[in-house]
Amino acid sequence: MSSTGTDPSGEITLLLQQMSGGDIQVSEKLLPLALPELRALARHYLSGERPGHTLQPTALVNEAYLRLVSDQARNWRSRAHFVGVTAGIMRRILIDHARRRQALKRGPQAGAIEISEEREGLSAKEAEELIALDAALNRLEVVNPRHRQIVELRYFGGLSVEETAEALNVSPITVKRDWRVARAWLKGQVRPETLV
Amino acid sequence: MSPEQWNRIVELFHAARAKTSTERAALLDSASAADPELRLAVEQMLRDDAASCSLLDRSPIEVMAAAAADPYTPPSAGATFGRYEIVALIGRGGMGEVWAAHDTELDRAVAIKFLFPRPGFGQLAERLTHEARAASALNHPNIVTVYEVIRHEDTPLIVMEMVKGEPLGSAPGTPQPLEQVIQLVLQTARALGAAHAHGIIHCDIKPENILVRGDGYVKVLDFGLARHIGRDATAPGIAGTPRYMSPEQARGELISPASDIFSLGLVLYELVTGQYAYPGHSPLLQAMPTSEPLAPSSINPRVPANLDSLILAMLAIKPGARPSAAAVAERLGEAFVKSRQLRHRRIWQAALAGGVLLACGLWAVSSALFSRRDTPEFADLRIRPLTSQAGWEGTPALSPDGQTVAFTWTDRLGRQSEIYRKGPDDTEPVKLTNSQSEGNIGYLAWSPDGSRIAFKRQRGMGGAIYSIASTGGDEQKIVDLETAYLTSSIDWSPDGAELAFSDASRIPTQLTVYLYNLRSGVKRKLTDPPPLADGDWNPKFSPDGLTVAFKRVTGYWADEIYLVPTAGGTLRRLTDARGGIWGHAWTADGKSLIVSWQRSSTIFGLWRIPLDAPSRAESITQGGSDAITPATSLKTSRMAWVNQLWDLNIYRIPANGVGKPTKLIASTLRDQGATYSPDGSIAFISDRSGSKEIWLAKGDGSGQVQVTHFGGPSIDHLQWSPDGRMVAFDARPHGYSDIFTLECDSATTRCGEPKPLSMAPAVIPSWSADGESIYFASDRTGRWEIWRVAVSGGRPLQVTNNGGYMSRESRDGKWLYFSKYMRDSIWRTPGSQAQNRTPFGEAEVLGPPYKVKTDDWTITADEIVFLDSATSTHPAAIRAYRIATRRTRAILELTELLPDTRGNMGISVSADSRWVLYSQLDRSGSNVMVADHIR
Repeated sequence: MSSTGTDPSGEITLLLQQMSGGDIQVSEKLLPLALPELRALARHYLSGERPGHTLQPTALVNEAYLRLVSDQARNWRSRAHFVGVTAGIMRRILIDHARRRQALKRGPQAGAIEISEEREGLSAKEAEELIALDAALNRLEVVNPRHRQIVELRYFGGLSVEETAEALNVSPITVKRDWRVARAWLKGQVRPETLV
Repeated sequence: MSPEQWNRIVELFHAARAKTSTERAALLDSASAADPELRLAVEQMLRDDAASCSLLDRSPIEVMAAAAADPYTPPSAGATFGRYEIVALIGRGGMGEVWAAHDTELDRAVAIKFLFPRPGFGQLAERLTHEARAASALNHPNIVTVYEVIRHEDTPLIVMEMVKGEPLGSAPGTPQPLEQVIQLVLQTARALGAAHAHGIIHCDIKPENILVRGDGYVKVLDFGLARHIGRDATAPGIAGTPRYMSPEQARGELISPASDIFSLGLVLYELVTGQYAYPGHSPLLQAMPTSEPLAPSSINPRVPANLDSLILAMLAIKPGARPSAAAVAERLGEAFVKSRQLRHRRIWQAALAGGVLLACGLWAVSSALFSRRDTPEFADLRIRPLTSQAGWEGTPALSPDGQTVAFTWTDRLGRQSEIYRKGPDDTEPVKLTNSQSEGNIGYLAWSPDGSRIAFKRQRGMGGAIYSIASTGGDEQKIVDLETAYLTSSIDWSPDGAELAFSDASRIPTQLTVYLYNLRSGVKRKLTDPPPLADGDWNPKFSPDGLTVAFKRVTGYWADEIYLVPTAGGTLRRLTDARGGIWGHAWTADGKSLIVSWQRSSTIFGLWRIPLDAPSRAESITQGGSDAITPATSLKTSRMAWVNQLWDLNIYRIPANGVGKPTKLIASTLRDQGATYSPDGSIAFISDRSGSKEIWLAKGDGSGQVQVTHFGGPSIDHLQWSPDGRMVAFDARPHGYSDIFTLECDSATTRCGEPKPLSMAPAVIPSWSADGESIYFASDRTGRWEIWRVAVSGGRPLQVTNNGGYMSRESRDGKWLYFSKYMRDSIWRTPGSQAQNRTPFGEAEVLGPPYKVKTDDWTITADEIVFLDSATSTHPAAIRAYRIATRRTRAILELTELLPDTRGNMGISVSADSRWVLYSQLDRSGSNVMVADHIR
């Protein structure tokens, strides 16, 4: 790993500092900077050119973080904030992936699917569940935005309870409770028999 | 749901969770008085909270990733263990890793084996001591020397002779050249002969334990399980590798030298056929083989009779019937001499026939592979495999004269990739780089004078472009890259002055095409992708050097080819964004691009796109395998690309579940979707002729005849009519799917012309019991539902309205059984002969705990035979569910096949209910292909 990130102008670092200062607009600015990187990374991993490589969201986000952010910004707090933004992007990437998977299956060529299934590794059922999860998260956003955020960070961002608490500036106990109730509800929302 | 409702759910959920079960009921009762729905919701959530089988209990990417986490902490380069200094990882097996190390005291290279921690480590250490003792007792040139066993903390390390070589490649893969196989196995047999003579059995003969040095010398390693004959051969516990175990070993019975012969027989079988002798068998099944495997010569016709009989003798079920190691060595020696005589004759014949420019021995791949005689534009196209090693070959590049192909190769374990070259004088690929663990290599480009090959090497996310002499030698670094994705290619300009590549030099990381001047070292940006696009990939110079064609990625797999003048200027978009693009290359005349394209298909095929009429793109290759990363030469009409192989074969198993599967129909490509006719003959789908077509065969798999010539992308879901005179199926000859019927006489294997039902979009036909109408699935309403239409045509009737996909009518016509799209159950609704037909009535017949694969099931007179997908509690299996008794039995458990059973297996049961047909993926891998006469 190189000793400095690819953020010589310090743009991302600056944005992260602003974000820890409570500037909500910042994540909107950070997103377009990080999106192509994450998409490229995800594509790079998922394209199957690294046989047998396992990709965890935390690993992917970490790799993006290390690449994007300069040394002095690499402290834990910045990382949590960065992940807060990127978890949403991970969600987008994975849902894209699931949609694409489903589009392939939905096409009239139902029999020709096994190749892409082998390569992309996401089963049709899992794709459908991911898409259902996305829709359920949108409903959750309406009734409790923080619960939606916690699911995004824990599930799509791969953050621990403590990191999630740090990113959202709430106590770990709150994160634990909220995560538990949101997860239990979401499980019901993505279960195949409830999908029509 | 309102925020208030949600808050009540949250409160009640937490409150109930804190209670004991009796208190919980009381709490829920009091809460439900006002709001019964609230109670239902919270109860469900409490159940889900305790369950752990949902998507949400796993990482979403974990779902996509196959490999499991490894608790083992590998040593790092530079670490020291006693007098040994670790250099690099060289191999990985089931038990541990082997690292290259330097013996600082004796100043020599050694190999050290580190073991993966596991329960019972003490016993393993004990075995290791055996390994040292047993192997040290042997002083044989084909056996790896063990220097010592040392202990580091609690870890035993075994220090061995350093062997620079590769483990023997084997199935899954294509057959290996016979002469080479014989030589390698001959040496292994000699090593075993010496060991057996000293009373030592290896007990774990498998390809990974047979190292082949660069000079062709074989070294057998891992005598870790060796036991002395007569002393502890009956020690309890089973040791060895399941796939290569002898039956007596798998049963934990007395083992003898003949056990090693059986294992070596399996290895030899795989090498000459490219297939497992007992594909897909769990160790338990293999422990009870009741029949011989298919003769190797029936899979690879080039296997001579004497070798055929030797292999089958080595695989005799009774240990006493197997030949000794010495006898095996002797008979292999004879086979080698015969094969060499044969080869000289073949090369001579090939030379006479002309056109085989790279003839280099016995590439035992079916000559039918991709020969497409019916495409006029590419009538002269001659395609042949250049490489046939196991593992993954990639990113080929043709020398300017088209004579030599450079490519990368990664072994089956996905380890270090290296560059290889294969020219007209090379009988085997020649390795050019020696990267150890320097980082992965991808995408090669020849200099226009053919003297050097540029390549990209990735370290972390960064990397650099290097070059190496095309005959091998030292590498030179040309230019550093900040983003060295191995999915983006590089190219050398026709005048030799510039390199083109993609790099990202600023945030956000977005690949941009650069031209790098090799003399001045100046890097010039050529493209400027729009914001939020992933960027520009794969620049390729036109033969006149004036234009660069590149791929612009605007979204997830939204790929388009653009052209840009090398001097800069206006872009021109060449393709429409339909599917992914996986590499492109210019034809030598500069008038077309060859593009690996997912156009209207999930499979990457090669297309030729004329620059003056891009809408008239033509398909060059079609078939079940992906054709990717095409490369052309600037001066010839030759082309190379990578073919990713997926070999599906058709098997038969007794329906009573007693007995072993028999491989019935096999080719090197995909044979699947077999279906029994009432008279016991078989119709199946194969793409062995270059496109998916229908074939007929007798019940024993013999007499295979192709009966359709769609040349189209897809045919699926065959079913014979009840009178056995017609086959119904779905196909997409014009891009959309329709149902077809085909009149066939299974006795003479003659068929008429396929007739469309004109019901598109329609898939998965099935016959009504009287044969008068056909059910099919259509998503014309926006959802997959089942419809029925008379065979003679007419207006279709909708049969289901709550989802429906694959259907089968009971033989009396009273019930129509059906599955739903992406659901795991089977339902039924009144059939065409039912007395009381309630419109759209349905009832679930077969569901949890089983997971019926939606289009892999069928019905018999009294049973539903289905593919039950694996769950966390049970393995995948073919099962039969008796409708009257609701009892389920297993016909075949598929433990070993799990990763490979995706896709349509095409389950079919014979009319007498004796046999079940299914298909399975026996191997996958990639090979470099070469074709001439590309215009």
